[in-house]
Formats: sequence, C-alpha cells, structure tokens
Amino acid sequence: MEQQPPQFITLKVKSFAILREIIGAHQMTLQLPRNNQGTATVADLRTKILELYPEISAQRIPIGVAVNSKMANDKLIINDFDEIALLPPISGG
Amino acid sequence: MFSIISEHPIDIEMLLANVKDDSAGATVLFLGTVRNHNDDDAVSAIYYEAYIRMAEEAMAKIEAEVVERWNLKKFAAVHRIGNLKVGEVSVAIAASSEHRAEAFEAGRYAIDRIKTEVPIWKKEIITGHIGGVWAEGKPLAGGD
Repeated sequence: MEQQPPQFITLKVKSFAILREIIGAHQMTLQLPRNNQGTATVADLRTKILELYPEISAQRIPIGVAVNSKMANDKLIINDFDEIALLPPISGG
Repeated sequence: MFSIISEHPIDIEMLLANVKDDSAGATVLFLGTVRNHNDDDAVSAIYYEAYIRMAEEAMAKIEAEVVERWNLKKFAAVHRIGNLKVGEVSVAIAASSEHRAEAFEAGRYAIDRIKTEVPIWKKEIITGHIGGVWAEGKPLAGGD
C-alpha cells in the first residue's frame, strides 16, 4: 500500500453547470501536490483540473475559481479544506 | 437582507410586502420570465443552477449598494433555481423609494448587476437538442 504523503493538500472542490457535467459530480475531494515552495496555488489547481478533465480545454471553457466563495487569482495560496468552486461563465437572469 | 436564491416559485406578494414602507411614494417591480425562444430556437423550459452561498453573498452586496446609492426605502430580490417552464418568473426585483425615479433606476441597475456578478447558470431546453444547451455566459470578474 502506498502511504498518503503529507506533500499533498486536500481540497473540497465544487463545480457548476457545464463544468459539473464534464467532471461528473457536484462536489469532489481532490489531493493537490505541494509545489517547490511547499504550497499550492490556484494556478496549480487549475493545471491539475485541466489535466484530469481534458474535455474542459477541448471545449475551451474558461474556468473562474472561487476560494471560500471569493473569486481568486492564480497566485492565491490555497490550504487544506478550503472550499473551492469551479465556475464557468455565468448566465443568470 | 431581502435578496435570496429560491427553489420555490417566487411569491410576488411577499416580495412586495418586503419593500412596503409608509414613507415610499413609489415601488417598482421587475420580473424576468422564461421566454419561449432564443434567436431561432424554440425553448420549452430553462434549468437554473446557482452556487447558492456565493450567489446570496453577491446579491446582498448589490442590495446594500443600491439602497445606499439611490437612497431607497427598501429593496428585495429573488432568483429562482431548478426547472422553470415558459412564462414562469426566474428573477424578481422590487425597490421602493420616496419618488419614482430612484426606484426605476435602482431596479434597472440591480438586474444588470445580478446578470454579471451572481454565479447562476441556465440551460435551455430546446426542441431538437437532446439534453439542453448551456447558455453562453460572461466570465465572473474579480480576484485580480
């Protein structure tokens, strides 16, 4: 058995609309490796998501990332159990 | 705060009751409804989905801003989610103010803000398209 090393952070990731359909679940738990600085950023998460779900790039769907319900830029450092949400372009009204 | 997301049909009377104020001389009500077409496509229903936590936070922010900017007596808004048929109300906004200009302007501004800042998505159920079509949207700003 491979042990779960502490170099990963664990995130709850929600997704919506077309991203939810591509991912196949409204919420998932994702383990993200820490980068060279020992942290993980929104950019690292974005890379991981696009790697896991190539259909998102294939359909050219822009992803907005919210961390704890606030829109986040790629440099933001994310921590264990932050609530992450993957948001496609919005269309309410 | 009177701005919420709801999975139930919007109760217009209750919305109006929420903005009732004896010092108001004007109340404006806006209703967004499900249209039976989009360009050349025949639409039979729309499915709405929201990131409820963030959507209600965004709506509360809009409510606070319009009340302050137009000196409203009261403001209330409801956006519905789930499956809606043609003609059903998807979004309702009510604003009350001393005179009519403020309530009209605030209502117009609020619906524009809701459409660009509140994380809600719609999938149109269109004749001839199995499974429906997600509406093309606008990326949410912020975070930079």
